[in-house]
Amino acid sequence: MRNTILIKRDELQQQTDLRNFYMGESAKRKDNDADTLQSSTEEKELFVMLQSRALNELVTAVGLRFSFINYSIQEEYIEITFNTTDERRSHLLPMLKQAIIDYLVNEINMQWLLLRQPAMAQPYMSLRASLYSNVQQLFAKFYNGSPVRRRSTNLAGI
Amino acid sequence: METKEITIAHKKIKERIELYTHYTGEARRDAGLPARLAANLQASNEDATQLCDHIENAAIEARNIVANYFTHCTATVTDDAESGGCAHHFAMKIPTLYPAEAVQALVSTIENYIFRRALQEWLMQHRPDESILQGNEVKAATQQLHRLLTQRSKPVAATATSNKNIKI
Repeated sequence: MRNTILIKRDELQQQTDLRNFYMGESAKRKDNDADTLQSSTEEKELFVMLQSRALNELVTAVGLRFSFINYSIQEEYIEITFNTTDERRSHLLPMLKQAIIDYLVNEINMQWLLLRQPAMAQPYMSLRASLYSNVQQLFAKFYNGSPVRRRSTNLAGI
Repeated sequence: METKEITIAHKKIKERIELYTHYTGEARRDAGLPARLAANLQASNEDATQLCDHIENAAIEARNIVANYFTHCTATVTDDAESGGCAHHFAMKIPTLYPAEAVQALVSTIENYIFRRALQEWLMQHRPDESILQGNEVKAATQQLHRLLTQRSKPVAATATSNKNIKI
């Protein structure tokens, strides 16, 4: 059966703007010029590009392992589709959606900060790997038979 | 981005300068300054061209400060029909997240900055000691302008977010 995840693009934009707003407000206490960190719908063109880059990066990385995944970017929604054999794990769909949103928002924020103030992008860069592995592990649940790389401690403990 | 237009009439600022220097001159004379020097300090109608020059320079400086933050800010000089003098016309593009309450504060801070700067120029010519005090005022006005220009309000979601998970 075909599973679809729809993410509203406005929601991504709004989450990014909100994060940048709070970050900018606290940065302004030290240096008043931190308003350059705060984004809004004015920079919509830039964020459209960053959104599609982030999504492509995510889906490509996941698709290398699970090749049944597909995505399309529409006017209002981002659509991610993949096929599974049965309904067993369909309760994981909301979790998967949230994990994808977390990854995308983190990635978009990181790219935005690399443009505006690279020194502040470090926390986002360190979160990238763990957020990506969340998405990948959740996907792996849908395809039970696919081999997921186990940690060496796990293997050694057999 | 919406465009905001501000008009600052030279006459208003000139009157403010004349008033300020008049009272300052009187106070200095009462404190013991020779009458000639105190009168030199006071601006009046005869010094109109000089004051106009100072105000224009101050307005251009204000425009430069604003343009640092709001990238599209133009300042043009037009003739003010009411007072017969000239007026400065600022047209600036206000960013999307700028709080509406801050716009009025911005207008009065720009006026304040122009007044203080022009006053400082005038005093630098006529009584340099006084101009040091005005320099501090100008610095304070600049800082206030910087802080006002970087204010932003919290972004609000345009429409209610709808979370849809569809299984086909």
